[in-house]
Amino acid sequence: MPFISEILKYASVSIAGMEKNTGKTETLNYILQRVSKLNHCISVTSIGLDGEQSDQVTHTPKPAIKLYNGMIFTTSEKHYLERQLVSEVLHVSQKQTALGRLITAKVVLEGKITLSGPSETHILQEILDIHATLGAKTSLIDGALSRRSHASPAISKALLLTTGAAFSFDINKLIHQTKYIIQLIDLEQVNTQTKHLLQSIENGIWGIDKNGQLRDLEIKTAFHFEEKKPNLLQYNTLFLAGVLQDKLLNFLRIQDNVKHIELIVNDFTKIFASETVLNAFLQKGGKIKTLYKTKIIALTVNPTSVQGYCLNSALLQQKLKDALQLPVYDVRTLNNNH
Amino acid sequence: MNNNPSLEKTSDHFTIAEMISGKIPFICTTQITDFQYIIENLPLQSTLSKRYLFSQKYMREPQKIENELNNIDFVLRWKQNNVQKAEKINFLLSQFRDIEKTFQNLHNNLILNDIDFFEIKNFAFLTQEIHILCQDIPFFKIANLDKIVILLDPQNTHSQGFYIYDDYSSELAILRKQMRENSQNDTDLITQCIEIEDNIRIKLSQNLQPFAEKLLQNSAQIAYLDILFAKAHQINDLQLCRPQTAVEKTVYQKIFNPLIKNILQSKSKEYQPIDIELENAPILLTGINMGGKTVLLRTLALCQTLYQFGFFVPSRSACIVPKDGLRLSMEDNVNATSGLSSFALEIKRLSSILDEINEGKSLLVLLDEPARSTNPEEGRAIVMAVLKILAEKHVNSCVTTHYDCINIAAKQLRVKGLKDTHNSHSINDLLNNIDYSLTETKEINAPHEALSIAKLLNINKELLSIAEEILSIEK
Repeated sequence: MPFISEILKYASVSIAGMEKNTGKTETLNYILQRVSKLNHCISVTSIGLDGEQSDQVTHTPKPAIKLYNGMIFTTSEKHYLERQLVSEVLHVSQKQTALGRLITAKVVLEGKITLSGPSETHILQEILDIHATLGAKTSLIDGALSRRSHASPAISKALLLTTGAAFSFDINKLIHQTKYIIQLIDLEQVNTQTKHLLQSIENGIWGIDKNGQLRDLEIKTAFHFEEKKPNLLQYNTLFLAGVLQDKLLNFLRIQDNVKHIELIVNDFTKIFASETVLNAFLQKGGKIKTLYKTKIIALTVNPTSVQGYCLNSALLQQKLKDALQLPVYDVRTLNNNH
Repeated sequence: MNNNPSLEKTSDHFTIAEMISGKIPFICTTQITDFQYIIENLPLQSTLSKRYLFSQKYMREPQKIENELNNIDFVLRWKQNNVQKAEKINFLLSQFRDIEKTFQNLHNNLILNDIDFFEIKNFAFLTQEIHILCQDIPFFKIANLDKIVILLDPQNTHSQGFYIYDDYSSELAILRKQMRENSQNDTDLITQCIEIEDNIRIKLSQNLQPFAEKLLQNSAQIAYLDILFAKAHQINDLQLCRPQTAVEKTVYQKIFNPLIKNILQSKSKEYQPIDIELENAPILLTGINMGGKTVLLRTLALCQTLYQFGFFVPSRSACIVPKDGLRLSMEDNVNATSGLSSFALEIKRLSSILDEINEGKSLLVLLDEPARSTNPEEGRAIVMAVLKILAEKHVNSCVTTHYDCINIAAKQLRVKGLKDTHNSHSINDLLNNIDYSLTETKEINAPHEALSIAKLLNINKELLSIAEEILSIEK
């Protein structure tokens, strides 16, 4: 089982879907079921109200996941009280979320539960620390590639990406887009010193001068940069606490000093720039780095879409493997293969 | 709408929360700023303590104040003699959550859930631990919660977690055993289990209900201990002193304003503490601009407030006469939306203070430059009249002015002021060149140093020279 043993090497692994219905829950359930048979304490939580917030937007119920004896989990008060398993409360967070406080517990008698979790990175980190103190060797995070959530799956040590027909019917497009996301995940990480300097900044665009000092450019968000264009050109190193979009890259690309410009973003999920624009900027010599970096360890695909469309699984897997040089698994056949 | 200032004659019986809310009409914003600095710097450990702190009331009975000060004193000494225990207690205090709502729910016969039980269990554990450490603190009275622990820790493992344990019901234990053996989900079994679990929750809630009162009391005791610990810490931090309750005179040696001291320190400047005595008679305080008169009034107000809320005060030593109330009149509490001019508002406020005095209320009255916004002749007359009334009624009071007041029955103090005018060439020199201490004086003329200070402040030259010219012609 190379897939499971690879996961268990890491202290934390995020499972993030490129789109809804790409098989995130199936993947998570598969991992949990396999690990339940091993002697390895695992914990699980989620980012935000529920990964991709489906119940908030479409009101479709979020699928519950099955947890086994001895597993540790964190979910919101609301979902804790709706649990269909016996579990021992071990920690109650002080912070309130939209669904109440965050409850951490240990499964006494296996059953189902809906996961929800913190939407801020530092709280997610706190939860992961609590899991570790309670004995979890690997923490799984039901993640999201969503701009709505501040918490990023990039803080986990490793990442499992799920994709499939729900994201695109076109195998080539699917491969292309996945490749782009992997390019973003692989962006270089800043050094520890710079990370400490920037990690607590919540908004705005900031400059870093030659001496490594932080400079306020008085730009509240990337959307406001056009009003203060000259401020942007004062320093070569820029930090964006929010999202990176085409507009800013297009502006910076045509500047004389583009070769020296280094843009820093929180992590790959904050990049909403299109592939062409981003790569045009990089081609001109500009650099993009991230504060948090994770490692992608595998890809799972769901060849079927909710509309019933089904891609050729074997072909899809082979093409993705060739293009990405990563292990690729079909969620529907995971159980059969192993 | 009633803008009548006589409405302000509310009796002073407000809480700390009300005091800093800005909703009490006679409390001005500067007063709140100074007081808030102390409150916000209290290093409270538990989230439950702030609410208790904010509900503490302004005290008028000397006995109550003394009692509070005695408790602080006790904790201060106890902490010095029990350093390690104190550290442990601080840690334990930081673990307490504010779960009063849960206690209230219990009190009101509601059925609690597993999260509530978990929190009550941990509250009980923590109180047991802290009780052992604080047995020699006489006023810290914790109700015994051993029975709660027995109820919520049926396996007696002292584990902090909680769930509906098999031990609560043999029937549940059997069903759960069956479920463990049955890998297939049996809906029937699950439903039966849920029913039994719910019955256990009901029974547990009923068994815990009689302890609700005790839990609430313990919660208040824990918060009080936290507040005393925080006060003791702050006393060392800000170098506060225990005020003595006095009957006749309020006397401060080296009184200082912690907020301003802090600001000065951040600019590497020193704060000059002041000695002052307030008798049952007004004091007329004069002195140059920037001489610290307003700061002194603010600080007197702060000390009186702190004392009456049961805090130590920023001073080397202090004897304070408790008062029914404190009235500080300053430019900053002018209500811009009332439609009245600053003069009208101020004079109405003055009048209402005098009304309160006539009603027999014992007040500390601090007036910063009353009638400053009208012409000097009439302004002076008003100040002298106020002083006359304050003297006749033997009111503990301090009035600052720039007017020349003659033949008044008040003790006159003057800020010593500029040590040497010629040595100051800039505002910084000026600040270093002021002696803020007070000296008794019989002079009828208020100091005339406004223009020399203005010069040092580097103001418009034309303005200065014309003003000087006018003065020399008048002389």
